[in-house]
Amino acid sequence: MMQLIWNGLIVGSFYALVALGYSMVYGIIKLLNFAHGDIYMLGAFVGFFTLSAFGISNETSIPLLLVVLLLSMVTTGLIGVGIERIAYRPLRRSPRLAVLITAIGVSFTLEYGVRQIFGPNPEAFPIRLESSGFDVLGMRVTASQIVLVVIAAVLMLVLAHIVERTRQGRAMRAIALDPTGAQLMGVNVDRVIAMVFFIGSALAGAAGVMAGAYYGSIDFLMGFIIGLKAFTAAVIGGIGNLYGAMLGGVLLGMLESFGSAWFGGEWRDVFAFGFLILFLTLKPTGLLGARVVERM
Amino acid sequence: MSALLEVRDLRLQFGGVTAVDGLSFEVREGEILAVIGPNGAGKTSAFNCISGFYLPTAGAVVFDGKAIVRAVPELWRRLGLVNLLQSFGLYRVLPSRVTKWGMARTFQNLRLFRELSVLENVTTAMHANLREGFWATLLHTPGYRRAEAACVREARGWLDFVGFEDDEQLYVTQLPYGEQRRVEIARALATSPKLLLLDEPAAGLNFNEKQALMRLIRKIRGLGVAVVLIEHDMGLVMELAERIVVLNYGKEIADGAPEVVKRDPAVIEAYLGVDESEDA
Amino acid sequence: MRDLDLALKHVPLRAPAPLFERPQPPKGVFTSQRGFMRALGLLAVLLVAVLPFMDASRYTMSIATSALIYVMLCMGLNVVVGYAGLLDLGYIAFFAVGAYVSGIFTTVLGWPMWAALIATIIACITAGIIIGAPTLRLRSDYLAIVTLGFGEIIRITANNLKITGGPSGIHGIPSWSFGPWSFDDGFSLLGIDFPERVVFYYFVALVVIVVGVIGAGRLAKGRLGRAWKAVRDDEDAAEAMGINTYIAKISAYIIGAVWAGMAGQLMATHLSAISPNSFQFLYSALILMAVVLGGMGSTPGVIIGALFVSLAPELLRDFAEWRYLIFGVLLVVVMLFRPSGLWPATAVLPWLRRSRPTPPAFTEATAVPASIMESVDGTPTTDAHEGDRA
Repeated sequence: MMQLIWNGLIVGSFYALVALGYSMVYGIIKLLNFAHGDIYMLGAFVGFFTLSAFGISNETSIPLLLVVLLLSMVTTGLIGVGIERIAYRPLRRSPRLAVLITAIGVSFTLEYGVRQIFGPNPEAFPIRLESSGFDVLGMRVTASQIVLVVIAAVLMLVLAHIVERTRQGRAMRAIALDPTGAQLMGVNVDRVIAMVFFIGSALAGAAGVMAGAYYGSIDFLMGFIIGLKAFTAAVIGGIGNLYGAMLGGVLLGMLESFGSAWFGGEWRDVFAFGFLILFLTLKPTGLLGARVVERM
Repeated sequence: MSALLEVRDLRLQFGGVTAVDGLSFEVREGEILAVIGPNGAGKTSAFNCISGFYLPTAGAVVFDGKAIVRAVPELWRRLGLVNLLQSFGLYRVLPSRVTKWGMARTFQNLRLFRELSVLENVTTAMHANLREGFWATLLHTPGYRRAEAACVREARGWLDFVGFEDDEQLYVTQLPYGEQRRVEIARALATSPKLLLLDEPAAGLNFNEKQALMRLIRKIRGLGVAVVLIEHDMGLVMELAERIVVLNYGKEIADGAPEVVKRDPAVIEAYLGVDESEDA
Repeated sequence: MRDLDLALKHVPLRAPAPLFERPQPPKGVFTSQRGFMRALGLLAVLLVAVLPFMDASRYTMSIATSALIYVMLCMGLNVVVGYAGLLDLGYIAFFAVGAYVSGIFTTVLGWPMWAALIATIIACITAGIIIGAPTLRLRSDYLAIVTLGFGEIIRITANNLKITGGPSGIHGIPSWSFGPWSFDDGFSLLGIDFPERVVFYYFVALVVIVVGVIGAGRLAKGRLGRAWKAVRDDEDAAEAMGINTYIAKISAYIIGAVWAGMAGQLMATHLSAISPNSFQFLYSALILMAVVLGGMGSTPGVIIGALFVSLAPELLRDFAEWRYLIFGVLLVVVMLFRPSGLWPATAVLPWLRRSRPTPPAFTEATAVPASIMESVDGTPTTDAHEGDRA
């Protein structure tokens, strides 16, 4: 029982990190960034590429993980900004359908671009956190799991600080509420949107590296399912709401953990998507989302 | 003098903002009523409630003896039950149903179907009154062909009625602004309304176009259709309207004939300004 | 005239009679768009019909039949995406439902094929309602991701259940048979032997597509099709014009679902074996790409797109390796520079252009994500981006 909760928390923190980017981008430009899951995959591959370039393999050092994490975050952040600049910005005034389709195109480009470079087979991630653990409260906990959860928590706290306390954060919230108004008040909308893409992508990249170190193997399609799951998490929490995304991620992780235990692991994804459909039907605004009247 | 449309205590809140605050008025059959008020007075929000697009927080709207907005028990609202029901399309009257009952509307910022031709824009609006079955459409039965031909003829009738003389096969985006306005009115008329809501029909029109618009609105009234218009152009409103409702901060502050409203101190203070009253 | 009046007798407010007769559109093969497209369509059908007489090898026929099934799927998705503007990322799920239902009903339950076809249609309508009813009330982008999730649910379910054969799928699905004679028996025509049953499926697919093209064209022109396009262009305005947008959307969705189910049945009987791997998200995306590249809402465009996406990897070996990457890049490029596709739905034949106006650009359509980019002086920033792209 406690074990299920703990496992759920770990997977949930991955979901939450990816969901944050989804939710932020959606909150600010109302775009479902389909390629967001692939940024997570890119994060893992950037880590893999850097470490391989230095000839590192089977490493277990946590400081090294942190360095790689930071490097990946910056790289994926920049890639996110680049994607927004090339593919999404020119289409901001286009119908939604056009932007969504573009996002699918970007997702395909990233997935199969990585496939062309690294090949279709899974790669072993060079950093492997040791799995020796200890028992607390009847659950098996490893040191690496604790490290991952702590990193995730720190990242989320930093994000919360940025959004709540800084000038840029205020600009983000202003644009989310009323883009035209924010622009009239002198907010540089383009720059803020670019920053949102940077932060969101960096978080997804971090989650990618962490997932690589945790699961040990990475492949070019690893972002697809987690992208879907993260979206589910964002919807459960209330899309556009940051705390909602965190809550939704952890909640979805737990739900899956329990769902797999009760119905069998092969039904895990069905269980998660079932929840997505259920939530969208009954409470499309999610747990923490405000009821929004759509402007005409 | 029966009321075609009755609005009672209409209230609409978005979050903390009260857009419409206890609005009541009525529209009689075949009259031209103008709703005026400063920007942000809640005119368009009220329109959106009346035509079924927004769900007001409280109040009742009755059109032609049918309830568009029903009073909701407070407990239901508190429990979120109403939202749930509405998300399944229950407990609300959809705008399409309102249109079917005979209330047509135009939009403040032209909203024609941009990838349809002028003619198709108008024939699309005959949706509710057109009887074409699925299989009849697939098989092109004589009944279908007849209905389609009648529909096209009717649409052309409306285009001529509003004075559209250009090529009906043009895409609406190729038309000048004034012509697009005409097409939008033709499209609204094609739904066969008893009441036509015009949201700022004169916005962006030049003097001649405004004169033509006034003639057109009188012509529409001549068909027995009541017209409610939101308008900022005072000259046009004073000349055209038989009755004026003035809104300010979501509340009705005056209701009466143009001459009466013009002299109402509350209106002068809120809206017309000192200069206007001196002109009178 | 009396006839016409009767057709709208129940309408309470009738328009005054038109003041003048508008000119009749021209007819003829080269003087009207419609005539030319009909002639072109006829020519295409003839060319496709002749192929088996030139090369009836198993290999050619298999590829050609698969390409035709692709065309069928793309036409179905075109109704959903192109006409009604609903982004369906799990379209392959209905294909899977069709394939599995016909597979299970014929092999496990031993039903005849026509009964399985009816079961397929019913199953697809049901699936369409189950997935469409709750989600079509939501915003369009939610629909996209829910359909994606639904597609995965169907595939994973097929993978996990016993009755669907698990990961290995269903084998030995029988062919269509009429009394003692079945498609497997082969036949000869004009002195040429067609021993392969695949030739039959080729012709069946061709006939179904011709019926589909005509049917979709007729629906698109009628009351329902106008409602779909209105919903696509501006949902609120459509609702204000008396169109129940929910019903319009769900009808498009169900028609698309049934069509995909029929394609699935065709594929199941043609290949006689199915497995969950044929129903991955990848294929939903490929179908969508074909529709987008060809031109959403444009039947000739979609057919060309489908043939390109399905045949290019077969014809160009080097291309096969790189295709998904190329498709992905193409999708972005097309959306940025030619959003209405290679053959836009509003395309007008070049030599008819003077008598008919040029179509509007798709990008100019109402931007839903608010007026974010309306800069202070009111100039839309799209202009500003022209320079960026160059």
